[in-house]
Amino acid sequence: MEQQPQTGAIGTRHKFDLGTLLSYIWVSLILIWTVFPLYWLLITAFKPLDEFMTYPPTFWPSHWTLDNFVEGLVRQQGAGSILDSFVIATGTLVLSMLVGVPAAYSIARFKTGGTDLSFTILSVRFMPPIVPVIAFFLISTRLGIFDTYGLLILVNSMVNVPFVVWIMAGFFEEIPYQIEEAAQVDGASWLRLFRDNVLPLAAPGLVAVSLFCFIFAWNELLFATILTGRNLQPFTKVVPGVNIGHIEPHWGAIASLGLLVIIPIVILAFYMQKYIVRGMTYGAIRE
Amino acid sequence: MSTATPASSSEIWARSAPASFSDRLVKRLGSKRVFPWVLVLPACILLLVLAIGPTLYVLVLSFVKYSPGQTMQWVGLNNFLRAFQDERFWRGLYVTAWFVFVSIGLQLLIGFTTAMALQRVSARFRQLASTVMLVPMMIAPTVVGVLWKMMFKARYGALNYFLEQVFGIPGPDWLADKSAALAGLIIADIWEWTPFITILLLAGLQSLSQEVYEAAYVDGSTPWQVFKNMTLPLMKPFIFLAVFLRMVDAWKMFDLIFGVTRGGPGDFTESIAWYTYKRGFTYFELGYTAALSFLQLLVIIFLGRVLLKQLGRVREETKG
Repeated sequence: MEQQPQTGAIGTRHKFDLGTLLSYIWVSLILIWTVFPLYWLLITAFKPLDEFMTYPPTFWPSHWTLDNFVEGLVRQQGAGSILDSFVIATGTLVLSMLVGVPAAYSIARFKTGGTDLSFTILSVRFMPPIVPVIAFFLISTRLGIFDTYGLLILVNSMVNVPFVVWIMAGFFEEIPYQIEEAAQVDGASWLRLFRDNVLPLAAPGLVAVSLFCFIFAWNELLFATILTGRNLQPFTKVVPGVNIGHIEPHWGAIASLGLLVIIPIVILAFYMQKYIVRGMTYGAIRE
Repeated sequence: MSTATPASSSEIWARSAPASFSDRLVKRLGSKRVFPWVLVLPACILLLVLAIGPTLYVLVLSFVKYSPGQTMQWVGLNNFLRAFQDERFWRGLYVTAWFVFVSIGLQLLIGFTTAMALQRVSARFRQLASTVMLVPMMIAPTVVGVLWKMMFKARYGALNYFLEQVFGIPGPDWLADKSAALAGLIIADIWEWTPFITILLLAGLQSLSQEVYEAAYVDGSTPWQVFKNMTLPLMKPFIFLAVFLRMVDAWKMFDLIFGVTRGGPGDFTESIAWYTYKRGFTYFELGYTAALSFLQLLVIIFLGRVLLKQLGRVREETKG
């Protein structure tokens, strides 16, 4: 990613001039702006509840407490809700990869269906989820699968399979075909060929794309709120509505749950940092 | 058989095959013409059943009047005509337009500035900053929503305290005031998505050839001339890519509203997606909802086409 080791990639001037100084100041301001709301979430999660309602607001908890976590996870049943999201996200990851990876391989290697097929598949990704959700709602209630893990895994896969196909095809294209050809000459079966010669080289891409699927399904809201009833409570639907009684939001519980659900994602994001631009631009930019 | 002639892939599963039916089937499926289609078939079936099918169903539904428990009644184009006379529909489009144009415009401005600045700071600082910037764009938009809702609390929130202490101006009651609520959503949207544009444009800037720049400086061009005549034109494909990726997303604006305002106060911050959701799942007028969502699909078909073209263009350009 870094082709230019020296400071100031633009131009040839490397001395510490005004522009560089302003750049440091600007980036620092942007960093403060980016981090502060996250910091606010963090301290709200650990503040005693009544401290949320003080004026002036406190920027450091008077004492650190875990009450909010107990309230959020246990009394407001946030633990079950996080578990629901986890099952849906994991299921989506597995199904999307099982269905998407073979298709991606086929499109990358054999140009199956030409560009028409791959573009049609990707365009499904752009569909506003509000369009099919009406049909999902009616059909799933008719079939009796409304409010089940299976339904949510299916509909999330609908959104993620196009992503897997498109991005994985890019990763497969980067693997030199000669290796596979050589193996073919030896008479290896497709399955063995794929397992021994393709998978190891595609592994980093496979891991990154799987994690993307997990994150997308974990963060998903519209299906999670419309297609669930009393049974499933994915956190995206629950967290904004955690109340004390029925009036005032329980900000401590909201903050603690919010913090818990973003921590794994932040860790994953750091781990797959190299692939994020590539994933978020549908493979257009490969760093 | 064991000569040096390379076997074609169609023969791979054909070796030592006693001709039972299942073996012939396997052979047929393994042939070079059929096998690629076997691989794409599950994905195609899944998308046909879960995307194309439901969309056609919704298209049919948009021509009927229907609520759960009632019989469907054919109304022709009435649902669409109703939409055009529906004030909340236009309001939804107006609010969505704020996200699609104003918010993205600001994100582009801030994002480009930040990307340029990031190029001039040390590699380590740049690395730190781009790592931190991943957080807003990767975490759940609903959580971004509640996060900002906390910031916006009129009396106890951090934002108004800052405004008062630093600038000496009293902040508005963000969530109760009509225009402040919309501004608040835009602020949260900017916080969430500017990092994405920044990182994308930074990747673009770093892919530009350095020699061109050096030549320009040798020519004696001023930094502004270099920016206007070189950087901007070279960055155009990246800028368009960023903008269209964001536009397709912003057109579906839903999650943030769910977390922050829930369309309120009144219906003042209802995006078109939020209004459609309300129509469908609060009032259960599913025929009308179908018509509303179908109109949104038409816009996406247009935006999506432009985006796909842009994706292809940038991919070609960064291939080398």
